[in-house]
Amino acid sequence: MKKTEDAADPILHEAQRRFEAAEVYEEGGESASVGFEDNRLKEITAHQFRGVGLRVIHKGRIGFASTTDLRDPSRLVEMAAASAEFGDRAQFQLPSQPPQLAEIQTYDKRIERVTAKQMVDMGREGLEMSKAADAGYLYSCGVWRSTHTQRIQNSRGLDAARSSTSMGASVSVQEVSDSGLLQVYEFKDWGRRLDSVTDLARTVLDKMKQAAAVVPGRLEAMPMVFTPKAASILFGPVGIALNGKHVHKGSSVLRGRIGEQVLDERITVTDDPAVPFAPGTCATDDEGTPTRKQHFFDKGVLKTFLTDLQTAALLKTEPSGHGFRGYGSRPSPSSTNVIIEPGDVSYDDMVRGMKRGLIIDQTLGSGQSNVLAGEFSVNVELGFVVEDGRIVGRVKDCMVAGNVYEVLKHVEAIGSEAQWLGSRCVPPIMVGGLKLAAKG
Amino acid sequence: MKDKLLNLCQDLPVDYAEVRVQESSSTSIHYAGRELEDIGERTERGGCVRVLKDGGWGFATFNDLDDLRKYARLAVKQAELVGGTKFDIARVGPFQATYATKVAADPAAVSLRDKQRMCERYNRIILGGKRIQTSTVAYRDSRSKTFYANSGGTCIEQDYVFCGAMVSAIAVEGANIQHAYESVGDLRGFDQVTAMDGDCEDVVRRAVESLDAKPVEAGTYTVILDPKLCGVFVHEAFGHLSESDFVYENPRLREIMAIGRRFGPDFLNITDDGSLEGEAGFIAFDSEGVPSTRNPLIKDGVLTGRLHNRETAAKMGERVTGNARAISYHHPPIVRMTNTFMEPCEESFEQMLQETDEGVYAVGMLGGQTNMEMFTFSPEEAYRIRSGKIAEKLRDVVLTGNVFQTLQSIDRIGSDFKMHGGLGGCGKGGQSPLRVGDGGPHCRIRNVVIGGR
Repeated sequence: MKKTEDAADPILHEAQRRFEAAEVYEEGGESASVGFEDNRLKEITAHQFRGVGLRVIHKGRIGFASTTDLRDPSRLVEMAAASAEFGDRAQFQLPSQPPQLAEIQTYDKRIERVTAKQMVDMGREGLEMSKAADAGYLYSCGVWRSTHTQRIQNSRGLDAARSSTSMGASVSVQEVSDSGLLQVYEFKDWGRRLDSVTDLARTVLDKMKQAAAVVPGRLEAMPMVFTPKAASILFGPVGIALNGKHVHKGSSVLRGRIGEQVLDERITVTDDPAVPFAPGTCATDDEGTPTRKQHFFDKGVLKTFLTDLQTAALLKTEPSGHGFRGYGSRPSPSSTNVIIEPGDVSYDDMVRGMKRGLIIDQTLGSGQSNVLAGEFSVNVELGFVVEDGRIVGRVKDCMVAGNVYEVLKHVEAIGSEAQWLGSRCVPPIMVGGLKLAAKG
Repeated sequence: MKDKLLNLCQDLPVDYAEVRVQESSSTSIHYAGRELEDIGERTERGGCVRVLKDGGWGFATFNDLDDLRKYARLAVKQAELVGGTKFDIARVGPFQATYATKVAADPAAVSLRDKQRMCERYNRIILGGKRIQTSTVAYRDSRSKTFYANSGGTCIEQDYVFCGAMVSAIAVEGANIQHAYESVGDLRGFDQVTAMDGDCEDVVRRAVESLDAKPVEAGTYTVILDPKLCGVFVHEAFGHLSESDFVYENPRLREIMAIGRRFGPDFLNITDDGSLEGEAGFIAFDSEGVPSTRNPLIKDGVLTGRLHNRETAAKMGERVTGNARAISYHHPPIVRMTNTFMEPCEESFEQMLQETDEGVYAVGMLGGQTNMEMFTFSPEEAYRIRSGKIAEKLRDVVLTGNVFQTLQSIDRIGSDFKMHGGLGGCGKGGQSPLRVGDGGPHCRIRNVVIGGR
């Protein structure tokens, strides 16, 4: 270990000597996870990694190379030089050390001390709940914890190191019958220590009960509620269109529309890099640009795009602080924590208010459509039919399709309870005008 | 290296131990429109240890190769903590082998400049297309050398050379954005990617045609799949269900997936074959040191076999199949497909089309997903069939099916056949993309639900 501890220094030193500009991005981490499958503790795994990415500007051109093999730093420098021979013209300058950065919270020391035994016990607690609910259920669960460090150094004197922790869990329960197979899952991931999976297990088991009856689907238009879990169907394509690279190339439907009312005026979408312990929290992006809270959509009006240094220069704007990467790739525009502002209708009232409708919770096949245009067409993996304000069962073998910009232009209601899923915080959203496709 | 790994495995106080050390390098080129967003080389070196002790698995993966024993001890400690009921895994071998991909043109022998020029040529063709807004041209080759040893005395060195490319065109007219792509990728070497000029012209044509295509209407259709989409269909509709890690400790599913159960018409045959050299899913040995084989999954419409790792084979009392695969040293092996295909029958595509009064012809592959009960799959392009002829072009076509019903609705299987790999791959259990081959002939399926407006 001691040999690789300061792996970045000789790399930066040599690269600085040879090129106009150089940047070393060093990343490492340790994680552990326990896995239950089909009612049995199956495996415990440990993961250690460390890698380095080197970006250079040579004769005005960008070069990049990466490795996890730190025995020979000059090989990495050679690879970056070979890359720079062909690379695009650098339109940007690497940033120097930023002034005082905002205080942010990303590290919970308690996570370092979580033992595999404690994670096993957490998983077991969920298993007991599943067995108590129905001995025929098959329970699977993963619990993980990780620590992550990164350091960016460049030839303009920037040296920014940061570390973060995360801990998360997923619970899924399956029931197999002659007529088919039902599977419900929930997950969470956060920067602070997780003490239990019981709330995930409870949600999953409640949904298993609600899904017990199968209601035949038919071809019909009806109001639909997307739960936070399913809302990525609607917001995923919008995230792609906000990417400055697509804007620059003209393949984003949002190009040239800053200031325009694109979504329903009740929809406000904020990128907030300072939420304590959220998965996307950081003081600078992975190029050293300070991050800041900003609106993507303010009351439905498009405000900004996501850019890294090069993309911002191509678009002739200031970098938005969204250049993110792993050691093995160049920076690319990506969001921090995306928060969709909750509305004023409780989820229960939303359901109670439906004469006949569908709650979509899990889908299959997202991303297999024309996402650039905002199209989606998904199988409703877990969808509850509501009649007269009550859930009567689930549908099977049905599809729902539409365009996210049409759907989000006029929503019926936005729920008051937002939920964090990964780095996105989303409320339930009720929309009209979509058609369920089913046999018969 | 070999002796060191073998000794490590045999010294550990466990029921079974295996270790992998992987060294790889890859070259990527990525044009997005006029920008050459990525070009250059990446290298990786890392390893993992996996042990079984008293019914529990422990696994450790690392880049720090200086202290293998430290991670091996960690894996043992973890396995001990899992505990449970002691079981044995299928013992085959020991094997001593060295495998290296044989290619006519090794991508490593081609200069970065020549690779870049080729991609630039493809990019120019696409960007020169009328109504084309932007493009993507991606190229990747990788060489990965893996040393494998286990406590049973197996010691294998495998060296794979993958090479592939993807070209895509994006046509734009106002808010109407349409995309078309083509991709190749397998273990046949550099020659596979050097003649994609025609593909570039093709993606331009398809993207532009899609601008004027109508969104499909929601409903139930008779669908003819082309060979490429048939491969994805087989992969999603049945392949995943034949991976026995879903089945072996699932009592009800074991009953349902009983060997001998009818899944489709008697002219339906589905096979997984990891031993097809050159195909994207080829492996000489899997990541548990088991040689790959040809495994019939459905024969004459009836379930005849499934895919195994050492544990599932032993627990189900069936023979190992060589399907334990890990995408890299970062991951433990899990049961995966290799090259999965529907075998051809007699009918010609023309005849099949003529006999289809109303329906949809779905061509190429965009993607697919399954949850073991229901699945989706989507074509690159689709056309309406009217009175036995191909009619207007459709867009936004995603099809769905049910694992236990849709195979029964296949009523025609063609006489042609194509296998396809590509730059992408299959994802399962957080391991993506895994190189796989999918294939089949044209085939026709009744009563397929398509989402739409």
